Amino acid sequence: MLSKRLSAYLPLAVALLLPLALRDDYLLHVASLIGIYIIVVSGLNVIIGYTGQFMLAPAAFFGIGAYTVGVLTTRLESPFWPAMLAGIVLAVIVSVVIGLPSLRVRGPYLAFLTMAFGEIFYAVINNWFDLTGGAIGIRLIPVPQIFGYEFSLGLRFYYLVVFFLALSVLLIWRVLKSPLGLAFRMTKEGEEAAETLGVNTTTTKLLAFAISAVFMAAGGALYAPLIGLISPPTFTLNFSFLFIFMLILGGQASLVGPIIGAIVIGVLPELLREALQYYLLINGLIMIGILLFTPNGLWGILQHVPRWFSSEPAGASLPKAPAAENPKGK
Amino acid sequence: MSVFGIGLSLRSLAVMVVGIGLMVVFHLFLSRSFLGLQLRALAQDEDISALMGVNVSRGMILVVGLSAVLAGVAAAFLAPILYVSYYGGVSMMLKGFIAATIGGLGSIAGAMVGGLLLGVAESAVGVYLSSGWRDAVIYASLIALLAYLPNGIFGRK
Repeated sequence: MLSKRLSAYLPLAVALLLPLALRDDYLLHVASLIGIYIIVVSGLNVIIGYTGQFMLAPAAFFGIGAYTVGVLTTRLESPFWPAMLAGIVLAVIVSVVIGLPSLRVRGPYLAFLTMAFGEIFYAVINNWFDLTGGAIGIRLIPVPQIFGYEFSLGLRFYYLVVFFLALSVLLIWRVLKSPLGLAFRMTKEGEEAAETLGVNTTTTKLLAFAISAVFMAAGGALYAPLIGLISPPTFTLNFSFLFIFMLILGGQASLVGPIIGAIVIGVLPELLREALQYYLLINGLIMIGILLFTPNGLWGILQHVPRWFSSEPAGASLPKAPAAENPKGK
Repeated sequence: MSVFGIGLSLRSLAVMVVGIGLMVVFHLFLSRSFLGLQLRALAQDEDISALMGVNVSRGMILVVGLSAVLAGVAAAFLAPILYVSYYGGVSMMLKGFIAATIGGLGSIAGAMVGGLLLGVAESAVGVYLSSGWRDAVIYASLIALLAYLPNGIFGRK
């Protein structure tokens, strides 16, 4: 259908043409950051939105990607790409290690368990001075380059982020369309029911953890050269909550939700710059307002917009009941 | 002032008395009073409680208010030791979650036990192991505990 292809390629076109509108290097920096956030929140969506597991430590996996790149590129003078790959692999391993005890716990216990893991990560990066630079962190992280072509900050790095963003959304879409994606959703709807239908919820949940970790770490890996300096105060519980807000605000269990959420929360502080110290208050009030009106986030609201403009009655798009057969025949 | 050879300040004594007192009060409230019965019903199943005549929204508001009151009491005791800042609540929030989780959600005695265990463990680890890794050890132990007791010590369901 035309509109499906349009809805897929239009955002890509917008992303590619955006620098024409944003001539400023600072604005491109913000756009790159938002792009990274979209990657992370899309990954988070896989585990929380589609599989229903409350993984409340995205900042930790984000940090694994960032710190791996930071350490390998500054200490071992490694090029960016193997460092990013190493970060992703490490994040996957850690996600399985955390996923195993998470299998038995449900609901709030799972939430606290993952929050505890986030704090463990924070304690590790804060205390392991020799590896991570402790509270000082790692600085002067170089930008990625390939065969001498440097993805310098600004326009070039922005397009690198767009590339990885498109790749991430494509991969996540393919996973969600596959039988594994179906298994994710079945696990979220009801684990016991899914088990009776042949879904191995154990491997399903572990795979969900691992796949989401891939994208969260990839985002972190890109974050390190963008900011150039990474330190523990960034990767706290607050940052994890920020990602979760982006997911819930934009709309979980949809591909577009994370995009909307990340853009809104990334852009809002910039728009509210004039409000100075009141921006946090306004930020919070806006988010509460949106959440009060829809549990499916902004995307949930936006999905209904076309219906407001159409003149069909409300039930028109529902499948029609089959015409009743008159048993007396006629 | 010293009791059994352990130095005790008047403030610590006050914390203990108030803490145990509040626990007793809440336990009696939840188990003996009609309102407490309604709150327990709400915890089990919102929809059926509504069918049984429980005012769900009033119950929810009451519960949130009660938690806020308890948090306020805790903060009042903590303020003299810890500095007061707008972000100070976050670390305390996590400690509260952890203490409740250790003890088991849904059990008041559990929350008390969990808080006690957490406090003692924190101090012990901080003194005998290192103070920097203290939090990591505590949280790792929580994860290990949840692996064996997925519902905490006294938790139900």
